[in-house]
Amino acid sequence: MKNCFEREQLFAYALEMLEAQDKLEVRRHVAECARCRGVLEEYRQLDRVLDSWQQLEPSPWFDSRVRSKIATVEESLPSLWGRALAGLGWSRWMAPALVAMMVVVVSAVIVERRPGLLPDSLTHMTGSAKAGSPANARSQVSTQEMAEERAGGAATLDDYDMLANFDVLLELPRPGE
Amino acid sequence: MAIESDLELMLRVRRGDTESFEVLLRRHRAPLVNYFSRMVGDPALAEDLAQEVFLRVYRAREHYRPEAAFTTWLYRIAANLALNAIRDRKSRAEAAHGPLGEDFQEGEPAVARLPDSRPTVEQRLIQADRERMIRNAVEALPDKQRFAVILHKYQEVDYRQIAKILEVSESAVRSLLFRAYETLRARLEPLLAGGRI
Repeated sequence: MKNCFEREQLFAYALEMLEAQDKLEVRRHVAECARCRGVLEEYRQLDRVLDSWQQLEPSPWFDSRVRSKIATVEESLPSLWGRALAGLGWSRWMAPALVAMMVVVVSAVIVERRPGLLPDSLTHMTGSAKAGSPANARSQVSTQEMAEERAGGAATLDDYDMLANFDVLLELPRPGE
Repeated sequence: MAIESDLELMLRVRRGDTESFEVLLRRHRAPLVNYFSRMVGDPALAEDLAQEVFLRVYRAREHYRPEAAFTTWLYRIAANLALNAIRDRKSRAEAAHGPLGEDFQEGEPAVARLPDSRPTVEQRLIQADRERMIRNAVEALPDKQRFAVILHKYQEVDYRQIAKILEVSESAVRSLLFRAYETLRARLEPLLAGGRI
């Protein structure tokens, strides 16, 4: 018959891959053309043969294995804090550096507020007793500690004992005197 | 109760709903295992790869964007895994036996489990032989043709979706399928002639 379709066009028709208009044209032609009907039948026969490749059932433990793999991966994930840092694109050494920096800042603030925590010599180095000599610093610390002692408390007493010992050290003759 | 779409379920998974993930798992595990089984020809490896797909889906849940059909996304992950598995297998085989020709056939993969209708031994042998022929014919196709046939014929994925999964045009998918079917028609001639069906 005249105007037979190409095999590829008939194949596309058999597998329903044609647009509506093309589909209609092929259908009209095939209704009248034995040769094209034969080609279509070849593809349908092949399709039936391919159907005989049977399905495989997943094993009964498939789901539990998926859950187990997910649980393993979830456990190995970093903490929320770590993920947040990772999300910021920070490299590994930045997190410890940040923590160290925070420790230094917090320590500096504590020392600033409670100068008595450091010996006089260190207090002087931090500059908290800017204008004063070691003796001035000691008198400031002593005044504060004495006030706390009056309020009562064993911790304050301990600090007082420590300061008293420093007094003893300061009373030692200086080298060359 | 209305059946929820894959997309709705996945959006819930993204929000942390593990029950929705279980529904997706139950819905897609068999098709995925079959897909991999037909792609790599090894049921045990097929299960491992299908599990890996679900693992990747779960891990990527927070980044899921409903721009394409869920199955397109799912089978794109699966296609990548299958391709890697096939390449690994070929590399290992080449390392062991030297370069392989086009006619290279792997050792006989395990035969898929038969339905529980208790066929006779003879029927089982005929069925196993027929499956072996089909499997060999499909496995011998070039990678993209094989992907297209398995997705279209066995996974019932629309050819427009196949185009997205394989990242080719729709007309290219049609052409791939046509060439694949022409090759299969020639290779499976004994079955088509009716002599062994």
